[in-house]
Amino acid sequence: MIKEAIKIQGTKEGLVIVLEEDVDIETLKEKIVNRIEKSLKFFEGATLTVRVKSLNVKEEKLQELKDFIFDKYGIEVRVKNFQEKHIKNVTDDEIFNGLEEGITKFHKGTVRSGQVVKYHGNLVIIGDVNPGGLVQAAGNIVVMGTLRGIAHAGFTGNKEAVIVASSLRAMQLRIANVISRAPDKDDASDYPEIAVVKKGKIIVKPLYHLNDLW
Amino acid sequence: MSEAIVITSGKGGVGKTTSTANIGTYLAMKGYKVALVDTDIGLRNLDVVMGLENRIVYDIVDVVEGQCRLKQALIKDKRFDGLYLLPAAQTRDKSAVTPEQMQKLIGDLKEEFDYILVDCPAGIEQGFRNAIAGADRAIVITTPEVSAVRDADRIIGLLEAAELHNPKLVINRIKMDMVKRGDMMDIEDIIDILAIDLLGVIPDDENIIISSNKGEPIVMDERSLAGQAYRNLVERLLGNNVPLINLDIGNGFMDRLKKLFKLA
Repeated sequence: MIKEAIKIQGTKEGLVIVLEEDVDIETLKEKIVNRIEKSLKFFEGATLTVRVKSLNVKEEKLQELKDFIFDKYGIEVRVKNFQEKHIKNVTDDEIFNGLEEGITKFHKGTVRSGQVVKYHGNLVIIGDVNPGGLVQAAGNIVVMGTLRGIAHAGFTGNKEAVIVASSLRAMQLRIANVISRAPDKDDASDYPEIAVVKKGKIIVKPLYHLNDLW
Repeated sequence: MSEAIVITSGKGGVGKTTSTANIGTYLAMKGYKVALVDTDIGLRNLDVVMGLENRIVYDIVDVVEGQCRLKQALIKDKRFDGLYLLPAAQTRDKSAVTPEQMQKLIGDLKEEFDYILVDCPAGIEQGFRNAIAGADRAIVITTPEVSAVRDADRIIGLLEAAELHNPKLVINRIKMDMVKRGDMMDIEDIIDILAIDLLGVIPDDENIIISSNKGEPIVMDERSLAGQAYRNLVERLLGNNVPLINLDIGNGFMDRLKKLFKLA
C-alpha cells in the first residue's frame, strides 16, 4: 500500500489530519478544504487536529490557514507535532525543537560501558551512566543518578539543549557540536548540576543557580 | 625507519596494556615519536591507563570507516610531546575492523611515527588477527604461571604461522621471594619452555596498580623498581645491552640501602 501524504483519522482528540511527509502550505490547505467540503455537516463544530512530522512552514502562514478555515467553516484547527509515532523515521540532521515541551524517553537502569542510549527527543536516564557509556539525545538529557560517561545533548544541532545530572562527573559533555572534557583533576561535586552552552562553550553550574542561566 | 610492534599474550590480565603504556611512554621520553594503538575494541583500557579517557572523541573504528581523519582520532598525550594514542571503540566489537584495514592504518601511522605500539586484546580470534596485521615485531607478555606460559606458547606458534618471527618475551609480575621458596616458576623455567629471547623481567609491584588507576605510567617514576625494569626493557628493545636488574631484594636495611644506590 502506498502511504498517502495526508490521512484523516477520527481519534479521541477528534478529527486528526496526519501528514506523513512534508507538504507545502498550499497543498495542506487544499486537502483540508477538500475534506471539509466533502462532508461539511460532519465537521461542524469539530476541532481539527493536524499532526505533522516536522513543520517546515512559517508560523504566520499557518496562522493564515487556521484563520481561513475558521472564518469559512467555523472549524478550529490545531497543529501538533507528530514525532511520538514516527520517531524512528527522524533523521540525524533534523534539529529537534521540543526542548521545552516535546517527546521524551525514560530509560530505566544503568547505562554501562559500551552501551549507547540514543533518542531523537529528550532523554531521562533513571539510573547511572557509567564510564564508557554513551547517552545521546536530540533534546535535553537528564540523568537521575551519577553521570560518569559521555552525554551528548542536542546531537542533531540544538545548542539550547541542556544536560542535568544528580551528580555530574561526566568524562565528556557534548552539546550540539560543542565538546568539553572533564578536568584531569577530580573535583566532582555532590550536588545536582546543569551543563549549558554559553558563548560557544559548555559551562557547568549548580542547579540552584538556575536563575542565572535563563 | 619506523617500526610497528604488537604487544600480545593470549591470556588476559597479564599486563599487555600496562606494558604498552610503559614502553610507549619511555620511548616518547627518549624523544621518539610514538603512536599507541588500542585494538581491544569493545573492552578498551589503554586510554584509562594513559589517563586520556576523557579526551576521546573519535576512535579506531571511526578512522577505518572514514568518519574522521586519522589525525582527528589521535589523542596527544598530556605529558610528552611525541606520544599519541589511537583509542579503540567501546560501543563496537572486534569485527568492526578487518586485518586489511589494520594493515593500511599501521602503514599510514608509519609515515608519521618512529614506533607504533599495538595493544592486542586477549584471545586468538579476530581481535588478535587484527592486532598482528601490519606488525613488524611482536612482544609476548607472560606471567610466571603455568596457564599464562601455556597461552604464551600458543601465541608464539600463531605468530610464527603469521610470519612474525623472533618474538621477544617479557615476564611480568614476578615475585622473587616466591621463586626462592620454589612456589613460582623461575625465569629459566619459562625460557626453557618458550625458547624465545628474553626482553625483560618486571617485578610484581603494587605501585603499578596505583599508577594504572591514576593514569600515570610507572616508567615515569624514577624511584620505582618496576619503572626501572621497564626502562631497561626499552633499552634492550632499542638494541642496547643492559643487564637484568637484580630483583632479589630483601627487606633488610642494608638491602634497601643497596637498592637505593643501585637505582639512584
